[in-house]
Amino acid sequence: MNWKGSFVTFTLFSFAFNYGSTDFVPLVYGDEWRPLYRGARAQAMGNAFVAVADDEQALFYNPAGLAGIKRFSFTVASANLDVSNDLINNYPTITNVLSSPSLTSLNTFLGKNLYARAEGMVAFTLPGFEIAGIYDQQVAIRLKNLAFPQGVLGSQTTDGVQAGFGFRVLKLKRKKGEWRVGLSAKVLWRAGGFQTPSLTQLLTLNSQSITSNISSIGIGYGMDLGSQFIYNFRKNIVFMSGLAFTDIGTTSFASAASPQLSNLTAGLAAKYTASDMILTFAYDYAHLLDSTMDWTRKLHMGLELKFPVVSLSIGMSALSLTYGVSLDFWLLRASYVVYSEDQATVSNVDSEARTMASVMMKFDF
Amino acid sequence: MLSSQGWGCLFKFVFLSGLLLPAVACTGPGFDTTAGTVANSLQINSSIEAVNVFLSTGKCSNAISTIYPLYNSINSNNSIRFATASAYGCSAHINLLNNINGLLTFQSDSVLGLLFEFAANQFPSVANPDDKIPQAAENGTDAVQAIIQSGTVLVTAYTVNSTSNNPISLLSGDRLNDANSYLTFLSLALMGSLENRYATPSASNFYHKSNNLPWTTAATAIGDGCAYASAVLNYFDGIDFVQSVAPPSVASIYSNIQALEPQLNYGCCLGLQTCGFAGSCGASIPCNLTGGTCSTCTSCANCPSLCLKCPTTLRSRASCTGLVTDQNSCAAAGLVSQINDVLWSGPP
Repeated sequence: MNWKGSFVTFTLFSFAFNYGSTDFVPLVYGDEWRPLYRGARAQAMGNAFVAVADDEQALFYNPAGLAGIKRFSFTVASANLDVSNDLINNYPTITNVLSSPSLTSLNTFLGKNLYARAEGMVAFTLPGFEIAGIYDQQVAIRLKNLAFPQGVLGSQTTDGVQAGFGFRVLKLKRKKGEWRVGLSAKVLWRAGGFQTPSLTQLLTLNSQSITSNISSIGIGYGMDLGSQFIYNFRKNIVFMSGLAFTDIGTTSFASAASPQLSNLTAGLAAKYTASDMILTFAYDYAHLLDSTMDWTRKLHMGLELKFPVVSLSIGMSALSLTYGVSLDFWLLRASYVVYSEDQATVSNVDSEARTMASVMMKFDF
Repeated sequence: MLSSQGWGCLFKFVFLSGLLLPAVACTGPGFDTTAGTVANSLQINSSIEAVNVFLSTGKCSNAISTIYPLYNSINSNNSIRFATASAYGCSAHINLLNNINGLLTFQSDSVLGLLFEFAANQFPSVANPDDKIPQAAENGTDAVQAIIQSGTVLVTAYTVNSTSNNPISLLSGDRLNDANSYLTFLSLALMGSLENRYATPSASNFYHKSNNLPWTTAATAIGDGCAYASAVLNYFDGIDFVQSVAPPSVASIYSNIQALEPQLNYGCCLGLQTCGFAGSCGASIPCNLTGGTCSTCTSCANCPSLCLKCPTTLRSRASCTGLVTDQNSCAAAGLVSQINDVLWSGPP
């Protein structure tokens, strides 16, 4: 029947959700925290990057890190693709279901975390300054519970421009260290979001209430603030600490689009440099202002071993293992990262394993 | 190279940071089930999420054992009740998407019998060995009937287990819409499982009954009989809401089922008359239903409650006493008789 097709379509490809029912009870679901930008290097290090941030990604993780950038660079294109392992492993089945959708076949999706994200970034970086344009598209279907289907459905598109400054405010004697602060501002356009449909919406197949926000694009303005302290303990050992407050006060949009939630993160890091190797260890404690989040989900730690061509990383994001490898070929950097994101209130109840592939083309001057 | 002092410093830094990991890995949101213990929101949420994960793979027992300590505690709230209802729903063999699909594709030879045949088709059940589907559906119904809108003042006459952690309201308007929606599935599971146990529906003949449901007198309309009648009424409470908010293309499907409601009210009315309740309203109250409306009841003050609707209190499966002086037992018997004689096809 035609409406069955509509049901399947809205379930899988709805772009936004608008609840007509005024007594909707949010079905409890941990969901993940979604950063505006998810860089391959930081992700491979378990997202412990606030103290480390020292490249073009500093703009998004800690703008104070821009003060440590010494060269001009132009990132022509940076493309990241994240896909959940459930989507990769079940792709043939999902394709079959979509080719002849039915209500019953939707059971195929239950218990699986289907997620995909494509992200692009272009940036122009000067010492102490960066401006970047980003594009981010993500979709997710995470349905649970055969007896009472519920979970997260959604799709979100974000475009925007972010610019930031980083500068040194204090320099220790004999080049022992420095204190940096940074500030960035952003303007974002976002449509869609991540929501949980009610049982009534599923039963009544009221796709109109669900798709009414498809074209609803909202504009939002946000600001990040950061600080880094660098201490040169030895010639080849550096200790770093960082504090970053991203999307201060939460970046909201002039539509029903999901807001970009604020995040205050503190981090520590140590870097050891040998002749042709840099070893970096980083430790972050995120979401300092969120008292409702389980503290195990706030922990991030990572280790990066960087050689001239190859970088190897391993880390823990919350309690989930992350690891990655990155190859640098002149202007090109390719990265492969495996990580997990918790989709529940506490770690390891429902971890979504993902694979990220990233390609970046960057000119350094 | 790093000096020994440098290595020591680096080691301490890494070690102290890493020391947190095993400590964290060994901790969890365990909930102390001691009576009166207050669980925090993390413990509650993580338990509900664990239930959802269990129920994605049909691990009903695990889900029940996870959520029941919270449900049976002072921490119980509507989210916990939803999780409990779905855990029992799993045990009652509810697969919501399959059930919806079944309703839309079920082939019946009778509009009147559609609901009863469909219920029998969807929820086969046997008493020996006991698959416990009826009990699971009843427990789920208890949970879902306790999902009350905030700010609701409960009416004592229509409240069950009022002093428990999960007081039940028999008034559908007191409950959240999603609760009423899910109640339709739990009620269907209870109806279908009892039909299979008592009426032996024929799979080869449109699930017509092979024998009548046995609860046709007030004396027999207790236990499963009362539960069956209450499930029928609860189903229609839920379907009323779902039909009212559905878009036209879907509402018509629910409307076909909803159209049976006057017949059920008529059955209750006949049952009450059989017990003599109609006589108390006077001889001129014949329950002459026309289009579901008892047109001759206007002269009797208590007639609307007896004649126009099945008793609200019959929504509780424990409301029947088996006495002819009990309105619920009489109405339940009449409702079952109406299903046997008029609505659900099959011998005798």
